[in-house]
Amino acid sequence: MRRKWWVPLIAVCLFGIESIFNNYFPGHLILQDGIFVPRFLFFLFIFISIFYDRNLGIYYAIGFGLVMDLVFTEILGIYLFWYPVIVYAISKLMKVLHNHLFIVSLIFLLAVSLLEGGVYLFNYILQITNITVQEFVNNRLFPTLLLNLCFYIIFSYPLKKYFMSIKKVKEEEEGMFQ
Amino acid sequence: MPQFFMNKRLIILLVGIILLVALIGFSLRERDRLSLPEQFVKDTAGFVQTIFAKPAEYIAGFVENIRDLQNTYEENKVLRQRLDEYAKLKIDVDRLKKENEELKAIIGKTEDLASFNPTYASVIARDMDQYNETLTINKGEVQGIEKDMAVLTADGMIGKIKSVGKLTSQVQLLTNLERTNRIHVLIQAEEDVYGLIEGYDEETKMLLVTQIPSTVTIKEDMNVTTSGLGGVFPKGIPIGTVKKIEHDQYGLTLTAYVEPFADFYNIEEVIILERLMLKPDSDEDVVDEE
Repeated sequence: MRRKWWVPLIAVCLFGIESIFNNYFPGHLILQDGIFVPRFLFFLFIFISIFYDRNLGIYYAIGFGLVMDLVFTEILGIYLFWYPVIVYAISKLMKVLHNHLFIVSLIFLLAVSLLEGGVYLFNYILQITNITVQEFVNNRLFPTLLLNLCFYIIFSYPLKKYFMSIKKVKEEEEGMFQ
Repeated sequence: MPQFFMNKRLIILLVGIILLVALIGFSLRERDRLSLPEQFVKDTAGFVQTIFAKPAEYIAGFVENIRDLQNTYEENKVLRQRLDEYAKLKIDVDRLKKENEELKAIIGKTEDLASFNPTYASVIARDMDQYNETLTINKGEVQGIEKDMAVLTADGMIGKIKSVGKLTSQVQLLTNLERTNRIHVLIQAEEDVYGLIEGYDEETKMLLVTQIPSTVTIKEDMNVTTSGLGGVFPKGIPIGTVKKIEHDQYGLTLTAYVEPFADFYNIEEVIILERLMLKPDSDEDVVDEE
């Protein structure tokens, strides 16, 4: 099997894990009132766009953003907007930065903060939530960053290797036709 | 000016924002049922989620079993004491049930506000950012689930059905802030006292029951159940116990803080109750309820 086709499979797996994660993760034991939001799919989109193919990352972001909105929020447009916009902005930013894993980790944390902030902003405007900015930062943003940083530390190296390898194959194929 | 409109990226951005506002507006309106594409995506996602939910449930169950083993001794002591009480209660309940049935047969009444039809379902997903406080369950329209049915765990009520797909449906938890999330409840005092669940207090983790007349006497530790008078839920679904009572800001009514029986975390299996008593059909008939 060609290794390229693992990408959608990984995406679907992460979607499944993300959707059941909060029902079992004992977040309230680690931090009272803390809400740990898994952003594993978002992590995948950013990695695709940085290490493999920018446009593919954005297509994935649009596709899964739509699914997220349909399945979870029932308000079309929250993830459909923020996923691709942030992935696009990050890929622009990475043009001037070296894609070393440490730098990417900082960029990833920035991206997650932007996403959390954006989603909070929309939910606040639409009056779905009424938590204050301070509560948002303490109860949502920091726990979420912590959780996703842990995920990043575990999975960034193998995923980077994987994407680098399929990118090499892709570039060789493109080279053949020129 | 022409160059301004020729800029491709700018046009994409503008069209994108217009589309975004339109989409949000489209999905915010009150809807009775989901459109077919929405149902299709939900059911497909539900299939994937089920694949991941099952192993997760087993692992969580295993961990819980180990934790249970640690305090088995203590629990056993308490439960043994309860056992005697239970036997006596069971005899009472059986007798009362029979008596109730006989009396109902005499007056020729088969259904009352409390009669219901249960369906059992498993939780397959929970919204990951927890702004909406929803669960997804693996039963839908095909299995007879309808909008606004009551959802409970073995402990007590947790919410109601928000939307239904063919094979999955979405549950809105009681902790949700939404304006339409109102439930008419009954406080079991000497005489029944009625109130309205009007929200959830994040700090104390308690439900707020408002609109209780200030002339009645309610005390702490009284039980709160659904009243069945809202026209949507069956009567007598346990919700919680009163923990604190306050006057509202004008002193005309009381507000009770109710600690829910159900735990809103780690929900695995749920029961969906269909009310058998006639439901008022149109929305105009029902003014102050769910």
